[in-house]
Amino acid sequence: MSPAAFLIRRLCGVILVILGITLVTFVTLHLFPADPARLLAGPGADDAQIQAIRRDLGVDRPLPVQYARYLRDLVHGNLGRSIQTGQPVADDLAKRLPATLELAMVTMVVYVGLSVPLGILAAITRGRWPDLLIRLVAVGGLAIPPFWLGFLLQLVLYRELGWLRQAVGRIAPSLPPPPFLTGFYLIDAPLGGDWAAFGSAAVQLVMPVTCLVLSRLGVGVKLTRTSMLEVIGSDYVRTARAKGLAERAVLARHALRNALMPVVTAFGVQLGYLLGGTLVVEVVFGWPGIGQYAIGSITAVDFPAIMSVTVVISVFFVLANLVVDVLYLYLDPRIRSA
Amino acid sequence: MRLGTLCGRAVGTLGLLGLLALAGLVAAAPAGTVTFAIPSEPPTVDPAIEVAGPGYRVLLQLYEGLLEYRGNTTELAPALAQSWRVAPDGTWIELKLRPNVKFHDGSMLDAETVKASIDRTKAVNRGGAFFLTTLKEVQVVDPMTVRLVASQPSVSLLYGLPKVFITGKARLADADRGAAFFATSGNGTGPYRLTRWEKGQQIVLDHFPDYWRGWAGNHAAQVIQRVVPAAGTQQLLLERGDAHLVVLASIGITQDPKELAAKPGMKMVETPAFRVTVISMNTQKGPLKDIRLRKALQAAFDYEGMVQVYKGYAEVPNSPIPRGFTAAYEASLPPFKRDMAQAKRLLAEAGYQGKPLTLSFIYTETEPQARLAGLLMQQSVQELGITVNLEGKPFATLAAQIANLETAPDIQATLTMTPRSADPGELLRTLYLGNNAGKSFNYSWYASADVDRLLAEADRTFDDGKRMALYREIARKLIDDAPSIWAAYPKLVEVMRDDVQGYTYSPLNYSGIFSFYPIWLRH
Repeated sequence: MSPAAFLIRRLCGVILVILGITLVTFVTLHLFPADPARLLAGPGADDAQIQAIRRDLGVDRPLPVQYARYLRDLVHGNLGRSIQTGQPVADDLAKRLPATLELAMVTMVVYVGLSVPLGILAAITRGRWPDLLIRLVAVGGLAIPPFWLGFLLQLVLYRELGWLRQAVGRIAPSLPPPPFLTGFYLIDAPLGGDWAAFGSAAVQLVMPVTCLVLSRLGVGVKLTRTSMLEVIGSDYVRTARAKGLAERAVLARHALRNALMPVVTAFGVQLGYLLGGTLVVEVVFGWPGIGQYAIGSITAVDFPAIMSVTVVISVFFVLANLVVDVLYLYLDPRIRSA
Repeated sequence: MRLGTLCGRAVGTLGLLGLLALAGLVAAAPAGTVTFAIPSEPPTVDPAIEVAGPGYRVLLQLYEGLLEYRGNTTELAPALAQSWRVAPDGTWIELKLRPNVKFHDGSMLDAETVKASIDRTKAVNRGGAFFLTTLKEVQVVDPMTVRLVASQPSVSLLYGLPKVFITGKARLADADRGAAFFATSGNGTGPYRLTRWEKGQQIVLDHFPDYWRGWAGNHAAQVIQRVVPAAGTQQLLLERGDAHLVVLASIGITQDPKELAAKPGMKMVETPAFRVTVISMNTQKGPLKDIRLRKALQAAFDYEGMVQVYKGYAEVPNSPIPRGFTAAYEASLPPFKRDMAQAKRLLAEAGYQGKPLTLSFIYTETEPQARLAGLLMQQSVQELGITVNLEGKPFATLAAQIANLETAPDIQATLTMTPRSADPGELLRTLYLGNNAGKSFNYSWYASADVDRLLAEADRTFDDGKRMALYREIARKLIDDAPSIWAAYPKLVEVMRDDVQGYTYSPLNYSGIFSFYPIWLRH
């Protein structure tokens, strides 16, 4: 199969998966025994007020009609109007999503940047102190709940040591956020020449990123280590060594590329999880991302907002997996020739 | 002579200095930034929608009503209207507007604007419209006088006016009646303007230089409401001085505020509030339909234990009416108290002696005191052989379950009830009006023709003395009918930095909702 045909097939799969997710989410939400109109109307409202709000929201129509309308709007990029804020959900998400994406991307870069070298180091020093130390730190991070770790970081770095001046937010409250271009402060600030905002945004990332990385590092390190150990012990690596190649060349050229295959898969899945999994960290660090938005939406039974957050996270999850598949094409020639 | 001249000069100099000091005081510019850590940002700041909760925290700074409550009392006072009079038959209220009041966009307050603003609130038909249910029409009498014509004589309309905020009319002609504008911006007459809202991070309010009350004396120049969702983190910000005030939901429930207030640079403000904790019993379905069983539960309930749930910052009630409503509150009623002998007698009369009885009890899982009230109820009735099954639910599910009599539980721990109006009729209608059965907060499904009639009569009675007598009669009737257990009168406790000055308790608002106009920072 040509790479193009492979991609088309995978994209068709992606669309079907997303359609399935919208259907399941839609039905589940509407089976939920709660009435958004009643919540919106407030405790003093009478039945006529509640009925009027139901009509406005369109939740008085049969479920299949509501779903068909939802899909029609979705195709046109209209995610609906939030019941809570009264604003288009797309606008709300456009303000929130970049915050979560920036946090997830920076976390991913640090996570991969630490997991792979530490995993390799642990593999090649197997059983010796660097291996034991790395595994101890990695597994320790896994064992600590992220909210607790977050609070611990705030307690130590913010309150006790005072190294970090702010405990919450994307930027120091005294600084205006950079003008919106991409929504990523680390990109928008330098593009606007605002280095103070860039510095503050970078500092504000320290605690949430540390928290997210530490709570996942164990997975990345152990995966890389196990995969590396498996490859190092294989016949072709033994052959490479027997040919007299230098250990560095054996590891870099022969072992690493093959060892990375399962690791890449895991990282793809981790990226997907990260988008939905920043929720707790967003709460602890007052990070204005979709996690916080999702909590507010769930509490208020804001159907359009919950649907959209679910769909957006699913799309990113599926896309992350698609990227992994494409990376496979590059890493594994067998897939290209299959 | 020389001495006299010297004295004269000294007196003159001192007088001049005094005048200068006075002038300095009068001309004192607002200074400093007060930072308020809030657990969540409002979904909207539309004054026609928000009447409580996080949005109200912002609205109180941006907008004003035609009337307001005087200080921390239930007395009505002039605000945007400088005077008012009620028709002899109570069917209209005429309000003379205050001259020279500017909106944040520079436009002036007049009768046309007031009419357009109230018409919008009524048309949006959400939170603010709750206070306008009896309003038929707003008439412009002259450029500075409006007349609110009611469909029936209505005290609730008059007492609701402090919560009906007046907006400038610039955006009211938009196709959406200003919905998009008012959701995220503001145009009121209040002391602060909304200058920046960084979604999910902070709301920045700057003082409005043309505010009609002026800026003499001490005031904050800027108020920042900073979103800090985690209670632990809010506390850290307070301890470090990065927040001056916080809304700590857990204070007085899971944590003794004294512990936090004892830390350096902190203080605690404790005020009796207009609040009552209500445990509703289903009067229309299940075993509690029997009044004797409801009274048995009332008698068995551990009221002193409930005060301890609030870490001691509460009082044992004696009436469904909170004590703050001094005119309607009847101090001579005996406080509720635990009486197990009485409970056992009532249980036997109802035919449940030695007979197993299981009751369902649901509560809002985000309200720690509601869960603790449930546990207390479990313990209180254990000795009677009654089993109470507790179930915590999100508010949305709980409200839907109670709204349907088929699914409504036997008992429900209502949130701590804070009245929304300075007239106790609002609270009593919300909790006990027959039309509100299962919704509003009438979670007891209580419907009494007598109480409905008395409530309607009270709303038609503008004579304060007569109306208060009616409320006292309603309270006694409710005590007889026992639709609820009135579990506590919780106090309001706020912990703040000790440099915060001018904080005024707002009895008719939830914890952490007050005007920032009188607040300033001592340097």
